[in-house]
Amino acid sequence: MCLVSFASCEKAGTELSDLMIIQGIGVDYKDGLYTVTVEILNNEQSGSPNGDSVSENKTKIYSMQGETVSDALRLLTTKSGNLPLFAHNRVVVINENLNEKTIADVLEFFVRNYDSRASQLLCVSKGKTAEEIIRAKLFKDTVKSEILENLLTESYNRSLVPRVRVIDGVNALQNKCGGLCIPAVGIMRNGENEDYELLGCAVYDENGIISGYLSNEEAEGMAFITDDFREGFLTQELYTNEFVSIVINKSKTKYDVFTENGRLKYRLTIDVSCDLDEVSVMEKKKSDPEILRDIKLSVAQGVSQRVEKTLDALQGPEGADCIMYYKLLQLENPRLFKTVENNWHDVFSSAQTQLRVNVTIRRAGEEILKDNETV
Amino acid sequence: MKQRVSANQFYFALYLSVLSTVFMYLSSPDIKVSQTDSILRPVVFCVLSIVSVIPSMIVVRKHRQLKKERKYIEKTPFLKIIALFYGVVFFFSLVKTFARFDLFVSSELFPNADMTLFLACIVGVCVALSFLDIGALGRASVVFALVVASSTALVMLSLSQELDFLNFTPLMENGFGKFLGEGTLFAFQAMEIGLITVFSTQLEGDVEKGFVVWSVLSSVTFAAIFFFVVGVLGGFADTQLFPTYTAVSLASFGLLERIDALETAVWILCIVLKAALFSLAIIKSFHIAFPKLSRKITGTALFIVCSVLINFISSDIERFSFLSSDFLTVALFILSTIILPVCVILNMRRVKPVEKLQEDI
Amino acid sequence: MNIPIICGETFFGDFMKSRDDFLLVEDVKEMSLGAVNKSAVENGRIIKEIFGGSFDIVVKKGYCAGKCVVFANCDGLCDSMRICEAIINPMLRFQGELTKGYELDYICTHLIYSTEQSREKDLSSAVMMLLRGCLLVFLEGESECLVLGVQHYPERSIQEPDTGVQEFGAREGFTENIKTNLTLLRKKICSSKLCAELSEVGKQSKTRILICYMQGRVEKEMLLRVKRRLEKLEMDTVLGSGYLRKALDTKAITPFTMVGQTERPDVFAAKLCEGKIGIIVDGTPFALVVPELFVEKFQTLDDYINRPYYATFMRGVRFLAFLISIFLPGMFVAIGLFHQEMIPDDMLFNIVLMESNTLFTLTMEALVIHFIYETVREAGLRMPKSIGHAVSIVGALVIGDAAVTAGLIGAPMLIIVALTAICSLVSSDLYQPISVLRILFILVGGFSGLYGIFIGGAVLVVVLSSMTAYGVPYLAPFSPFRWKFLRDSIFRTSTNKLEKQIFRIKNLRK
Repeated sequence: MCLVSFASCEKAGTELSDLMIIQGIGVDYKDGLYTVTVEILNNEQSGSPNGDSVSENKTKIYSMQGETVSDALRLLTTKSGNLPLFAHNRVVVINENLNEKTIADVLEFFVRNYDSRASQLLCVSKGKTAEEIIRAKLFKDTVKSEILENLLTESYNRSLVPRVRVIDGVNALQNKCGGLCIPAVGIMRNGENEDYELLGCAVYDENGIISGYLSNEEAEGMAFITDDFREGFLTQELYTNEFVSIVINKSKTKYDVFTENGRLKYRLTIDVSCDLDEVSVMEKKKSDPEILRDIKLSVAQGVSQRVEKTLDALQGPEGADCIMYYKLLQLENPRLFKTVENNWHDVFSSAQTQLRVNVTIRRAGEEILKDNETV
Repeated sequence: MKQRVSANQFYFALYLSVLSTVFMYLSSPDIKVSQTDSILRPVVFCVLSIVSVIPSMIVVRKHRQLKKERKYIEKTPFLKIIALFYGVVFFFSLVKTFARFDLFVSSELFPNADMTLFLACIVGVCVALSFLDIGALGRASVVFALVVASSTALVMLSLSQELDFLNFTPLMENGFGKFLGEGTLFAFQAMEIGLITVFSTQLEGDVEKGFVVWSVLSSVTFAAIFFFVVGVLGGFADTQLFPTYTAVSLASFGLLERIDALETAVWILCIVLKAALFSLAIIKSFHIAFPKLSRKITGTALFIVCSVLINFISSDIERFSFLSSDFLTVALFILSTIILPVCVILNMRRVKPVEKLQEDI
Repeated sequence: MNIPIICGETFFGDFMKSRDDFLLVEDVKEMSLGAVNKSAVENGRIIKEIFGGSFDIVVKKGYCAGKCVVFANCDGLCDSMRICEAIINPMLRFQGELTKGYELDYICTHLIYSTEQSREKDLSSAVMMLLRGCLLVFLEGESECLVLGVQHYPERSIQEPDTGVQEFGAREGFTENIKTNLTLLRKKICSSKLCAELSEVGKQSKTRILICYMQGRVEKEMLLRVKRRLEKLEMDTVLGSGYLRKALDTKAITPFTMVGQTERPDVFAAKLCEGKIGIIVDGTPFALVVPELFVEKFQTLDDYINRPYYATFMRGVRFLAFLISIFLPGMFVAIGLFHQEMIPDDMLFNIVLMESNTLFTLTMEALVIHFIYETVREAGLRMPKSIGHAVSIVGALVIGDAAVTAGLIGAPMLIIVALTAICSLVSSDLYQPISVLRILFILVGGFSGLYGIFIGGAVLVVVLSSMTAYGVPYLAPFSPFRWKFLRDSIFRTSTNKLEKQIFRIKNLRK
């Protein structure tokens, strides 16, 4: 009897039914107050114990205000009556207008909270508040944070934007030299409904404040530079009005840092391996042995253009060292790094990059290729 | 009758015990765990442990030579005083282990729960296990080692996808001297070396060779763990109280994410074993110091005092800071591995051959 | 079942002493009847008297060559036809003269037809033989009696045993008859090295036991210790082999036992060949084997008939099933209450939906359903077989459907318990510890999560490690680790390799 009473009365742990499973968090800041919007799974649906169908919404959305993120989230318990579980949070959306506060302040809660995972994704709301992103009216009853997470993950898998987790955010901002590129998301109209869209990246400078944005095109080169390329597509004009589409399935970047005439120089050697997807050239040209060389040249140019665009944007007035150039120098030449550490922003802006792209065509569809030349 | 334990099994137990130090490695503002130096610090540990174990090894050898005289040695008043010191040193180490575990549990595992009962239960379990003696603990450690090693290897395998070479830093950025100091401080946490003297009469087999293997294997394991902590977390490691735990929380196997709870549960095996070993050492030491005191009474008293003390320390983080201060760590290590074993050797030298002793009686 | 005599060493010893309806071992003194009387009639009278006139004790008086002769036997334990035709008839019809001074010898060699013959001077011993189914023949003027083996017990035929079922093994099992069991064993091991020593246990029941071993393979010290322990056993009645476990087990406070039990002669023979000691107890088909290792609980005879890869696979499955049956419900409770982050997102949502409408807490739910399961199982075991189906249907309906629909328990917990129940039956020898440990781990998991479960697991492993029987560690060859012996543990290597280095239990001694 004692055991039975103990088992039923002892309030150890949290019952599953008392949990509030948080799926997404949006953070806005206005007039000295944080507005935190959370999307939680609706586990109070009228379901049966054997999990039969339910008729209510899948998720609920709450917004609270407080002087800190933690302060605002505490109000959540009083609103729903359940205990928040951050462990399943998929994404944290930060308002782009969080200029008065640094991103580090926002991340402080997630770093300190034992429950939240360091791998949850970060993104910035562009043109909308974080609350609007979380409350977006999507076309069907679904978990919005899951859709948002899928968008960010897929974009990362296609090497369009970097993957930024809480841990990456903290790591980048811990060093006074490094900046951070966080994917930016917005909302677009789709008939009566709304859809999420990717709007490039927000560039946070060394102080953790947004200094500018990279467009989708400008952000595409990031993966090549940081050697975090997963898979990507490239369409290049091969000849006039004749195009080639390729799938880049592998890319490896090697670095070399050196000084020349007192200027810091980086040499990036990018080895790209790709498959031909579509070659829309005239039939008689297809048999031309030179075409392979031209495709490779074209791909190399395409990759170079992407990288250069990204470098131009990041080394420009609204840029920051989001590509870890400082870290490369620190590892390569710690002494030199110490001398330029305090003036890194300027050094980075003036640093030169030499680019070398090696292209290998792995598969060519129905055509047999004779060799894999280096361009 | 005292249980005997093979040297290999004993070192298995010590290996798990010393691993718990790394699993619950505490970040400190002075020593940055995110630096690549962390991976090399175990080298200092390896060298230092081999040097510091020499007195304990002499004790083991002497005990084997003086088998007949052993019971007379245990009756000498000087040894009783040494045993008392040993008891106190290991008591501090035990309290420190539990206090660190309490901090770990209350910060990472059950932040909202009242830990009083949980901690008391663990202390009770560890003291109870120590009654089963070193033979059982040694044999059990082989099974534990299998579980811990396989789960740690799996986590490392999973974390290998998260490694980023840009997280590493230049080696010995702050100079060799500082690196050596940090490494030495890290090595001084291995209080387990002192246990060799306490259990010297129960060890069988090649103790010296086993220790070298233990030392090298421990160092390699530490280095591997720190390699993953640094490579996966980078600077983030310095923001975390228990960086090893945070690194593990990033591991995932397909659908299974956040397996840190499972991994930390496995680590608890190491902590339980460590606490049981130390409890046994304390009970054994006090039994030599006060032969009339029964082991059960010593164990019960240890359980009560330890539970109360840990809950006292648990309520204020500053008390814990004192307990884990560098000074105390160094003092306890030197006392248990150098000074006290040397005293034991000196005491043995004073003992006459057994024939002479019998004549005296 | 009434066991009137309780061992004096038990905790309740003193309490029992004060009660008249319990008799302590110290009080049971052997009632010596003295030597066999020269008066045959007097012997017959004493026998009738000590049995209180029991109707099955037959005492018949007659004359052989002019001398009074008394026959005494226990009806039902003897072959009556054989007694009449081979013993009574020739003796009573004998008209000649018995050789003077050698009367009994003459009777044995010239008159009766019996293969088992002996003589007994002590009347108490003779009575004991009577109870074993022998015929006692008292001749007037003789100070000893003839004891003739004419036993014929009511006996079950050799059948396939219900426990330890083998797919490819023999279809015969031990019976309740000690002689039949020894015969079955001899059939398996046709060797002069097989030794079966007869002994008796139980002050009152005088149960016969056979201590079996293979000479040259068994370790003498181990054998001596087993014998000593059995001799020291102070029990009044021994009605089954389980009664001897207490004497043979070396560690009292543990849910596991180092005394194996089998109903199969082939398994028993295999264990003896490994140098173990077997004990066959009269009146029970379950024979004991000491010492038994933990790893043996996962081995079956089929493993040695199947291909090594399959045997290894099945041993792995059995071990996994054992772990699941102990830890799974506790782990589910622990994860559900403390470590929800471990459950994948979608699965968590479904589990939460199903569990949110149940009445009990997760811990209570687990306990309730296990209680229901154990009750149904126990009822199924004890009830008459004719109503077995009815209980199964009720059990399935109550647990399977109604409890879930009524919101008493959630479907996930039901799945967990069903899986656990099936897994726990894989190693039937371990069912007892499994069922108790499972409940403990549910409580520990509900109180302190996975950490509690692993601490509990650590305690279990240390306790198992501390177990040694006759110098052999229970967890061998894993702890202490013996690489050489792993070839037939959870793994099973090829028969060639096993034959090269034949396993002997004494090699595993510390």
